[in-house]
Amino acid sequence: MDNNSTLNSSIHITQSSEALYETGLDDEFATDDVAEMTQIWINERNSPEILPYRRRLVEDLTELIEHQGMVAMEGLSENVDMRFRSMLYQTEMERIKFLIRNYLRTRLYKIEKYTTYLLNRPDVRERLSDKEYEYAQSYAELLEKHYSKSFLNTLPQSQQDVNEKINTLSSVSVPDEYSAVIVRGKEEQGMFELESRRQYEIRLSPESIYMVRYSDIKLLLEEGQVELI
Amino acid sequence: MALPQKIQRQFSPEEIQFIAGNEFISIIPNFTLDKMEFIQTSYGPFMPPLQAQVPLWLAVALKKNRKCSIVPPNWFTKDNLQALLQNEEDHDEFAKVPFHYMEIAHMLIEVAPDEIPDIEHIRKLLKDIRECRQRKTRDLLGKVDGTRLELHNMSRMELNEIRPLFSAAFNEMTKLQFLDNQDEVME
Amino acid sequence: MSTFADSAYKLAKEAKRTMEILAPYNEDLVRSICREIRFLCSLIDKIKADMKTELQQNPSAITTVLVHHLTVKRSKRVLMAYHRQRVNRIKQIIWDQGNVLSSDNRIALSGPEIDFAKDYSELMTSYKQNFMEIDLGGNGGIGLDPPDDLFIEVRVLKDAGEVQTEYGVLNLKRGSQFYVRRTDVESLIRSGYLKHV
Repeated sequence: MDNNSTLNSSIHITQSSEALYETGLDDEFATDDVAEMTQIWINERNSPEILPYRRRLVEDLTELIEHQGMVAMEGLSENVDMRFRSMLYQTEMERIKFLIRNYLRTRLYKIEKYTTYLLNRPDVRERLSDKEYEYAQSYAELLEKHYSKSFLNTLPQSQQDVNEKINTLSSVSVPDEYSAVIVRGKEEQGMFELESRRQYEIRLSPESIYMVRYSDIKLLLEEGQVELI
Repeated sequence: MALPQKIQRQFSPEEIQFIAGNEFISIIPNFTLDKMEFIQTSYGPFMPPLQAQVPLWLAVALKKNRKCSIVPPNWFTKDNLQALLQNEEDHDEFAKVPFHYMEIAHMLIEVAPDEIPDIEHIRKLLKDIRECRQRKTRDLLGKVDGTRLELHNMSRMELNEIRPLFSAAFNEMTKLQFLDNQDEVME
Repeated sequence: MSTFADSAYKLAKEAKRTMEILAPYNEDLVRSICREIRFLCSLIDKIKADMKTELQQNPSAITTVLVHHLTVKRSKRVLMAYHRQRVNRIKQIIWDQGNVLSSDNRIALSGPEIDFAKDYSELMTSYKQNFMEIDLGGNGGIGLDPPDDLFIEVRVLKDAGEVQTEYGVLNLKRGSQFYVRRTDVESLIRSGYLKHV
């Protein structure tokens, strides 16, 4: 990862008011892990199901934070100038830590909400990190243990199944893929027909914001063509 | 819960503010500092009286520690906001605004009130613009039909605000459509 | 027949009423619902056994079985919902405050809930170990609010000795100035040792 990236030096005589209409995520930030992490976090918060774990992003940023932490520490016992720089570095570090922390806890929340569902679906399971998968298994176990001890054990054998179907109502929580999300395109990509309602189209463009069913844009999100807001 | 109740369905205002922190703004540093290697990228060197473009979060940190003055963006003047208000009032659609206009305005007023000419006027204009746009979102609710809803030119803060109500309405319409479809199949 | 569902109804109402708080575990109601379920199941079994020996299907017996069956299912759903709601509450306290096993809270928990709280705390701690650098928070530690106003410059007004901060030790001698985390020094500012410059 290139820290001295292509962002132009910050000395500009003229301000660019155009820049304030942009999202700050233009081409120069092609390798901007922080910008990407920010959007990944936003996507994860907004999506009803758990999205694929972005291992490289989290690991790279964590490593950079560790390294920067040492730089910041060195600055503490030096002169005022160094302490000030150290403070600014720490401010940025706290921002990135917040992103990763919130991202990971959002995923834990979903794992706890849909534990049984995701343990039974290999395609969903593979979106979890190894640690998350372990967590899901342990959580499922301890939840089952708890329900057993609390009341299930006292019921007749035939009633001891926690996950059952009653007509079409399952007691297993499942993410609602039809729920509404707010979305926009990342680049100009023309019109896109909605899966569920063929006669409706949306325009894929950063200027065009829509509320749609998650299932209609799920694939686009996976492919990185849209972002959730 | 790993995620508290209040942010399970939408972002908190502080989180929206956080996201807006990545927007760029111009500052005039009042100190000299060599180039700094941040994790995301490098900024500096800072050499007064030359302006510098930095992200809002950095501008705020510098300003709060009295190390710079902030240059309000072009759109953040009495005249331009007046024009924006006029534009809002003259059309049914939402006028084009910076995606984080509310958050940027909020931060500027909070940390750099001394650098904003006509601040009271601007506050009033922002309030009027907000209210005009809120009226438009009320009308928008009627257009929810469970297929797709156009939300062009709304700002991130506004989208976050309408999310719970509009999602609920949208999801209801989706359910009704399923019932309709089932009826059709039965016939 | 409807009296069998009374306990479940009561528990459902209580769950609704106590959504925002951790009320004392209602051992009595839970036990009596379980008793009812066992009883209804034995009734069902008996009717089924009787039906095998009859030459004709008895419609009213079938209806009775169905009603019992639905009551059992409903009671079970209520039990699940009640326990799940409390589990969520316990988890929330563990993340936000960390003191779910304080004497105040302990009284409200059932035995299995206390075990669950311990197990869940351990699970959470073990997962957090993978991200020490990030600090996932929980247990009353760092919350999920975005960082704000982290650092301020302070001048020392009165000698205050040494202070330990996350980023090192500061020697607070009168007249010196530091950039510090706001949270580290808030109380010192309030008691007049430091001044926000």
